[in-house]
Amino acid sequence: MTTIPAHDNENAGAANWERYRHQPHWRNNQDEYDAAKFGMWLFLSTELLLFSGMFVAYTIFRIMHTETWGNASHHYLDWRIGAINTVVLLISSWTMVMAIRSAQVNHQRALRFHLVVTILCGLFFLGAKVGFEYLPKLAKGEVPGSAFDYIGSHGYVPSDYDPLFLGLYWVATAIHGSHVLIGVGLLTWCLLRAGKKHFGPKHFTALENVGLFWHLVDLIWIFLFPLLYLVG
Amino acid sequence: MAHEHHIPSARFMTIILGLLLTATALTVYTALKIDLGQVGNLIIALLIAAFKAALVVGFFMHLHWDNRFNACVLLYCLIAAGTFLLFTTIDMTSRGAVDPWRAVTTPPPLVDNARERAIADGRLDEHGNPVDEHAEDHGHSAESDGTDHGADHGADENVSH
Repeated sequence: MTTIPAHDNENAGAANWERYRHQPHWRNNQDEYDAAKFGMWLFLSTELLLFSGMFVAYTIFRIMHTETWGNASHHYLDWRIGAINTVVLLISSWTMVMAIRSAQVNHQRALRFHLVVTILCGLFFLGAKVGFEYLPKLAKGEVPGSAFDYIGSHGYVPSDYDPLFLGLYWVATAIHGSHVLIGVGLLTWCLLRAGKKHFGPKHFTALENVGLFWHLVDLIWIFLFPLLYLVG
Repeated sequence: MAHEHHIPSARFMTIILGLLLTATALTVYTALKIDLGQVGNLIIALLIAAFKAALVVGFFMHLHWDNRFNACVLLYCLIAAGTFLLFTTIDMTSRGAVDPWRAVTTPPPLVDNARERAIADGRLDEHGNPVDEHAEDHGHSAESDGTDHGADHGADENVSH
């Protein structure tokens, strides 16, 4: 498709999206893009299977300890924090979509703006998670397993299986949170590259795949939020 | 599809975001205000979550306009995860029906208690060492089980099989 002489490419250091030329083992840019995206989907499917293990654990424990699940979910977790974080993640997914769209129509300023908003949303999510949930929980001893050191309050007496619920909560949300953290890192990398005009109508492979990763993080949270915070 | 990237309109994507936020509000409302029992509320929450997930995958992740190979990857993954969840649920919710049947028809578990039986019979002492009836000739019982090479206290686990 694009016929840019090789020396031209070398001069630019493949920096600008207009001069981007596919790696030599691909026929054209489109093949390279398709293969990269297919690989990303394969990776995302392994990610979904990783989390499916946690959902299976949730199913087993919930059926075994239905009462504990209902009580613990309402006592330990504040749905308002979860709901705010859900809204923030959904908005960040939208800004990610808009960032890719901006690259497709070559609005470089809008691209950088939407990436910055996406990163800020990710940081907000992590800040709310650590500040309003993880640190107070650590302080109160609401932790999994034998480290559980919570005596209850407001008439709530922890059941024997509360550490199990908290174990699932901590593992699932912390692995999800680490994905948010990695996503923020990848988005920052995209922002730096966007600053060098690496992404444009003809080339935005990395941006697209980071976007897919970011949407996956959102996708997992769409299920974690009601299961942990609401229905219990 | 091959050589054209679909460029979605900003208006369309904003409508999708609006749907997602509405669905989130609906999740919270149904979970807090409507009591359908723990299972009923769970099903409602999962249905709304599945709807939201479909919007994110189909439009935010561009799968609707994308190469169908990518949809196949996701489909495979969903079938696998669905299998895990389905069979786990069937197993966990049918224990009550199966356990009484198991109690009558299943033979007692094959516990390897040979060591305990040997101690009870007096063939081994309480430490699991062989009780040597011919204490004076050590070289004779080499074929027994190899635990008579001196005072072999550490070989307890060898004795039990």
